[in-house]
Amino acid sequence: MTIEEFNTCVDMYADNLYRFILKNVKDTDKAKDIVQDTYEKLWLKVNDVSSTNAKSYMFTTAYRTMIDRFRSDSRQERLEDSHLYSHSHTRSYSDLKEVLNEAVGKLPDIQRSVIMLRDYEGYNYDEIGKITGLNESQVKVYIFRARKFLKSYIGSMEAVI
Amino acid sequence: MNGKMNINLNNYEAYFLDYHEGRLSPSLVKELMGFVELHPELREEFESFEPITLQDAEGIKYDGKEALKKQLVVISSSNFDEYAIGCMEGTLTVSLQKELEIFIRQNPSYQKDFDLYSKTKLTPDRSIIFEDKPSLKKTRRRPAVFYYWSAAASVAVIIGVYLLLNNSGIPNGNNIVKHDKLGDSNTVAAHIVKPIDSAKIMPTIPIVKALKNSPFAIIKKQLPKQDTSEKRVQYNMQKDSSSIVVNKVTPYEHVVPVKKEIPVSTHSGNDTVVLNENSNDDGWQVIQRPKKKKKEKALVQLATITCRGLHAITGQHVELEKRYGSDTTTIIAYQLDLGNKKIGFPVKE
Repeated sequence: MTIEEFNTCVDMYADNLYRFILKNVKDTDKAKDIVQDTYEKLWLKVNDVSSTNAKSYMFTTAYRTMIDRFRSDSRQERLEDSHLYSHSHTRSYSDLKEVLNEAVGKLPDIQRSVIMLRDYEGYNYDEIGKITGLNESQVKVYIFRARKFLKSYIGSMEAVI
Repeated sequence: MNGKMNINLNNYEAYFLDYHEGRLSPSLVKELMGFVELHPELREEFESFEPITLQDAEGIKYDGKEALKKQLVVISSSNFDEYAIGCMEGTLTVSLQKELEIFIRQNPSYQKDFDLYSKTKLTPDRSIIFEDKPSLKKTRRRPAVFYYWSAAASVAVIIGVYLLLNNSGIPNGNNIVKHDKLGDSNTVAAHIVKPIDSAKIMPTIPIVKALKNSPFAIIKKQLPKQDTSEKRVQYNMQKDSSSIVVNKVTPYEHVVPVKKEIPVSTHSGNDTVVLNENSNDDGWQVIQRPKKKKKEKALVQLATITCRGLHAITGQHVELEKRYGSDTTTIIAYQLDLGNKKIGFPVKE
């Protein structure tokens, strides 16, 4: 990858990467930090990574960096499918998008990551598996569970809206 | 097997096999027997050679075939979620999509669930952007050698300038000697005397140059500002009637007599002789040229060479320039000219 291609990657993917990380870590500073780390790691591998693989490389690197941060922040328990399927109705919402954002925020980390990679970036199951270190079946299962949860959450909120 | 017998020790097994499978012609059988006769050590192998036939495997059957067969898809309340999600994921075949549509049409209560699933499709918030993209971008990499040279040159320049700036032109008092006795006009004796008060010789600044093989030394002397006009100067040696007239000297330059009897060990031809006019002493004061001056000169040369090297390597304008005072001879500062930037280093007096 040339410097020009690297800088093109910055223009093309920095926003996507930032959105993906920010939605997961919910902290702008940490998200920016991870994006910068990711591009620094890409720069170190600039001679090994082709421009066509750069996006996948960056999402993989960013995802794994984020997981490392989660672990260092003792947030590992959020990676487990757990207690998050119950939801309260204490807030008021203005539109579906807000409800959906709320619902996404309540997803377990792994489900949120795979469904965002799927919907935001349009990755297929195999690509998501490579980024997250899961096999294709696991990716399908997590997406399935995530959609069921989102559908359930939206349905339960529609009366509130 | 072809009709020509080419049997030998490297291929006889093939003929043995063909013989036992009945694929050899009578003539080849005859020749094969002749070969065995010629090689009796192979007879045992020939006679024991029996083609092995594998057991019939038809009796082994796979019992799970029915489980592998695809059933006609029947969408029901139990699997509706799976197909609804599959539909929005785009993984359903056209026929399955039609099946799903039929199911929903027949069961309108599932239409709402289907619509809710459609709403779970996330869309990125385009208003969220990474604002500091320039910080992520890289500029063209320069050859590694540039950095090594730059680093080395920078260190050399910095050290040179640092040492330069810390070199004072004021001599060490220990180097000051006094003529305690003036004999005739051409004889001066000198010895080291105790350090004199630096304020006493200020604002005298010794200059550098002395005339080799000459009884005269050129002295640069910082005179009061009002005394700036060029003039003729005449000095009368004390206790001596002889005088030396110097023509066309600036107020900063005087010529004084110095005899070679001044001990060479402390007063070589490069020694600086300072006339301390403010002193009440009776004689001349001789100040040995500070050795730091040589060091300073060497460092300036080093810095200059380094700058030239940098210029040659980088193609950028890098030059160490001298800045002179109003007398055009006194270096008052050094300036590092980097083309678009200039850094000044005043010389400490």
